[in-house]
Amino acid sequence: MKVQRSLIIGGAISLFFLALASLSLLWVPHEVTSLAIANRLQGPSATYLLGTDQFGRDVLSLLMVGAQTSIAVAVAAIGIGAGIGVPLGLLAAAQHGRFGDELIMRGNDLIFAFPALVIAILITATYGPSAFNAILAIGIFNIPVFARVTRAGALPLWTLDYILAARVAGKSKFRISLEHILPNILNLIIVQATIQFSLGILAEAALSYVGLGAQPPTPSWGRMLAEAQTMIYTHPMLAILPGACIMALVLGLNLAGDGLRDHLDPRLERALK
Amino acid sequence: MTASPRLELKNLEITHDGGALVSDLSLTLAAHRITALVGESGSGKSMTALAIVGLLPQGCSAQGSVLLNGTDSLLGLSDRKMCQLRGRRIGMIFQEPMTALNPVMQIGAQVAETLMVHRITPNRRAAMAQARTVLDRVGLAQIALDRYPHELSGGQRQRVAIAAAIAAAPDVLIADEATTALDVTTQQGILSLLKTLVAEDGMALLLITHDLAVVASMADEVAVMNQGRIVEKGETKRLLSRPRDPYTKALLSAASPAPKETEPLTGETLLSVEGVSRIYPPKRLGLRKSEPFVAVRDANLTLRRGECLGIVGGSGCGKSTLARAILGLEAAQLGKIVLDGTEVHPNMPLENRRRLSIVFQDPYGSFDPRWRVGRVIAEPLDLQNVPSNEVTSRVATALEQVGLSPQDAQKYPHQFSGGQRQRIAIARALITRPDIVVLDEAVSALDVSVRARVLDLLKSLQQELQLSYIFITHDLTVVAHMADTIAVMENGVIVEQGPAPQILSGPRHPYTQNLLNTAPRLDAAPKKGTVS
Amino acid sequence: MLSYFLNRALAMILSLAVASVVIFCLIEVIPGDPASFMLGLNATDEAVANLRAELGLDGGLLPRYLAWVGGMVQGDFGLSYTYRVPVADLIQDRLAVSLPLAIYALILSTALAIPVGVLAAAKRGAWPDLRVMAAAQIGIAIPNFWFAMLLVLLFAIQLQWVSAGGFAGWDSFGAGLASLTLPAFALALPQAAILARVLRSALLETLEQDYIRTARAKGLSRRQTLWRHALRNAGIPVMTILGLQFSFLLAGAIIIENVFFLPGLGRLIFQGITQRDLIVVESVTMLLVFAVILVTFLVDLAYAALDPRLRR
Repeated sequence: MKVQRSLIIGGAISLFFLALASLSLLWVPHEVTSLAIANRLQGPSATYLLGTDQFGRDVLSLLMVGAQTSIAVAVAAIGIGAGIGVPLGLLAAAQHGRFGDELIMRGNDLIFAFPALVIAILITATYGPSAFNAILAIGIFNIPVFARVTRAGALPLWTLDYILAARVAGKSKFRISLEHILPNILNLIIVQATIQFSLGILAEAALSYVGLGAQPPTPSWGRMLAEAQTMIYTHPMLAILPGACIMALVLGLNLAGDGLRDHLDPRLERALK
Repeated sequence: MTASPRLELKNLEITHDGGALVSDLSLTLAAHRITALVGESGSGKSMTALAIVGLLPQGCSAQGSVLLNGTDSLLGLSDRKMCQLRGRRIGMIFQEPMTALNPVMQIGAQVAETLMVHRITPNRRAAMAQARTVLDRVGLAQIALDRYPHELSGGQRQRVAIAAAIAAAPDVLIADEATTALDVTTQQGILSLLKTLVAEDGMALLLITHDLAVVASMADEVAVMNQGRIVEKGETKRLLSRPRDPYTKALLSAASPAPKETEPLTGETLLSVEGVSRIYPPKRLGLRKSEPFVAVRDANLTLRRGECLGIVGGSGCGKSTLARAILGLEAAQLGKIVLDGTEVHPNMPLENRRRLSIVFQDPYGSFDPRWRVGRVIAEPLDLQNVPSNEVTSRVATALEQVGLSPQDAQKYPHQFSGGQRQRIAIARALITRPDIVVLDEAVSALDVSVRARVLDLLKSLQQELQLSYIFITHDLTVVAHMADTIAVMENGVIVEQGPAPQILSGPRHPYTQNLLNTAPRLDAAPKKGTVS
Repeated sequence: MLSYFLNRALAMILSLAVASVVIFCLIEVIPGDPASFMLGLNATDEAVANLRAELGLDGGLLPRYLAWVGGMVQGDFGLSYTYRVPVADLIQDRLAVSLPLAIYALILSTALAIPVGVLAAAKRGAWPDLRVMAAAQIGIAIPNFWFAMLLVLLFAIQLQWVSAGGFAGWDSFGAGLASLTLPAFALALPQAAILARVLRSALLETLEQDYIRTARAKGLSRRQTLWRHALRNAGIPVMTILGLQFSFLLAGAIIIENVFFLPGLGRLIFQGITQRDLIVVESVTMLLVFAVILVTFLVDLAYAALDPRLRR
């Protein structure tokens, strides 16, 4: 099967950032947690490849650890969303036409009424802002997304003859969901996961920007943007670089997701809305 | 008086990516005449139709000549010029009436659209008035112009499509499998409507179909296609009674299987359905409740060992619902179903489940596309506590029984043809060594020649394994070929049942009589224009 | 049709009720005592007790909840702890900025997305389509607040066409609109990209349906088929996205206000969080959720207008 060009390009970009983030777990050029005001606002040099910010921190190191933050939050949020959403969606499809389906769908609609930002506001207003709460907010909002996509993919499968054949043989709905339904919608879920991954990066950046995400001294791209805002007249690069990273990673993930979808099944394009 | 040729195809060739789909096709359509183009799936008949109207899919190209009214050559015209001809000089109707109409547009507007696009009427009001006339003509006088397609039945929707296609009084009408998706009585209505239109308007009708019985009752001339070429053409009566080409001969014999020679049944009674009713509970529609829907009412049947019971009826008559109750998939609200002493219901024990199995209609949706054939066939055994080495040997046996090889267990379903997939479905049905197999339109989606072979297989398996069949179908030739007894259903009620020869030759209930009369028959002479 | 309307209205009221319970519980119930939470660790017991009495926290859960809901229905959102003024007044002032911003952005994004999406679908696979899709990919990936900063950099700082921020007030409609233009544009572009993609794929899917083939067989050109048959059917999935978009737009607006120093709901709620003014946070959250639920309801009604199959 010919591998799509978008998958290659997107995959390369995404892996680049992933590698950067993983590397930062072990090593960064300079410590990001301590301030060194003496070195503030230097341009790019041999020691500071991308210069320093107004607190004297190395921009490159900040970006690397920021990548870590964004990716960790987005991935954890997907874990919550898919871990709870997919079983719910499978259950709803299996119980189609009955109370269980109705209940899950109403619950879904209810969560959709709370944009991720509003959930984050609620949680941080009562428990205080933190990366954990950002994960919770984005994750909770991911649940109905995965539930809806899973259910939409599973429903048409239940009417197919081979499912009926399994029921004639006496298989329980639970076993059918695991052995037949889930493998056939896995592609759908994987592609949705890449979409939610990129949305999670954007959401984490937005939350950190307004101060509701990872707190100092943990670096985060969004907060870098907030801090750079006051410097934008004199040092625009401090605002451009983190934003460019966000955009690049999200673009890479989206391209990879599109390419993955076309690669796995050209007909999938119709199932995803 | 020779009829003037309306459409002439000369040496038409259609290619796709270098491969030829249609080669050297020549055909003439004359006014006031119905020409049938007959072939199995993949023979190229639909492609021919699309080439005529210039709607071939991307990547296909057509060569040769297509002459309309002796002068205009259609191939090579720009799309703009073809748009002027489509709907105005050449009308076309397609196979699936359920999806042929725009669901959010009123039917009056959809018919009037043809008139307005070709500026036949001066304004919208005149177009709607004329649309009303045309709709009346196709038998929809009772249906208001502002109805939407979803409010109409399949047959009615096809009539709307016909109205839109003939509104501008075209010279040629192409009907591509226009009645295939409809049940027998509806089909009859549409076919006689088409016949009337041809007689009254002088159109040339190109009737594309795979059903030779339809050809027999409708067409003046017929051309038989196989693998992109016309193998034989001529006047219908002659071709059907004295075919010359071997393919035509094979097609004809496969299309008219001999009725079964039934012997009196001596086996013990395996299954008895006693007073079974299946009622769907009322649905909550917003604030109102609908009526409970009685899908099956007071059904009584018996099935002996070795017997083949045919269940016939139009769509929506309840035959599939009854089958699901017999299989223990749904519970009957009234009455009971007894299989060899034990009751059949959705919670029945698994040892009893293995005695029932099913073969479905659609060879393409019958299997999980991710499972290998071996696993597909073995699935019913998953719940029967069979040791794994025995499973493998049973799968191999089953494959051989249906005429495939044990190596095929490693392949995937998409690697097989439609007929082979039905064989795999039969193998899956046999794996639990059942007593009763339900065949739900199991051969309806197969080409005629393939169908004959699968039916032969089913017959020999029945003999060999002492199986009982419940054969659900709408096709009376098939049921005549297979069944010992027949039950006829209408609106959830079994209106008549008895030994097959008796039902087929001397039906008593008016519905059965109507069914037998309206079903097109291969040996019928083309009827003179009957108005539906 | 009537039963469909009532059904949806009922669903809306139910959603509002459940949402209000969730918000109430989260803020007033879970963290323990709201009063001491608001006053902080150094508050005296007496101050806390006074605040409790003042805020009406002495009653049981259910009466407090009902009082809160009852008040909201009448337009009384309580008194802000920080400012000692009715929250309703605060909200009204800020809404005068946030609501027009969201609507402005919605109009911009739709106006941009529809012609672009239709063009891409009509010329599928050709250059216009590929260019549009590439642009859309970038549009989706841009964080809107960063885009806003770049716009400020370009238009306000380099070109000096508009001011870098602040709201000019509605006394002069033109001036008010001008100060909202850059923010609305920053909000609209990513949303337009999403909408264009959705419209394109909905159109492409519609174009594969059988009734399109019927239309062509009647003699309609490709263009006529697209506009008269495909667009209306594609409108249905697009409506869903528009509804979802609104909630994203609202959230986006709140964040964007930060970049442009606009005195909108965003500033109100973030100040409320930092100042621990839970009454403000509660009320604004409820308002946001109400807006989203209302829009969902309107979208459901729009479905019925577009698709006659729903009008049983």
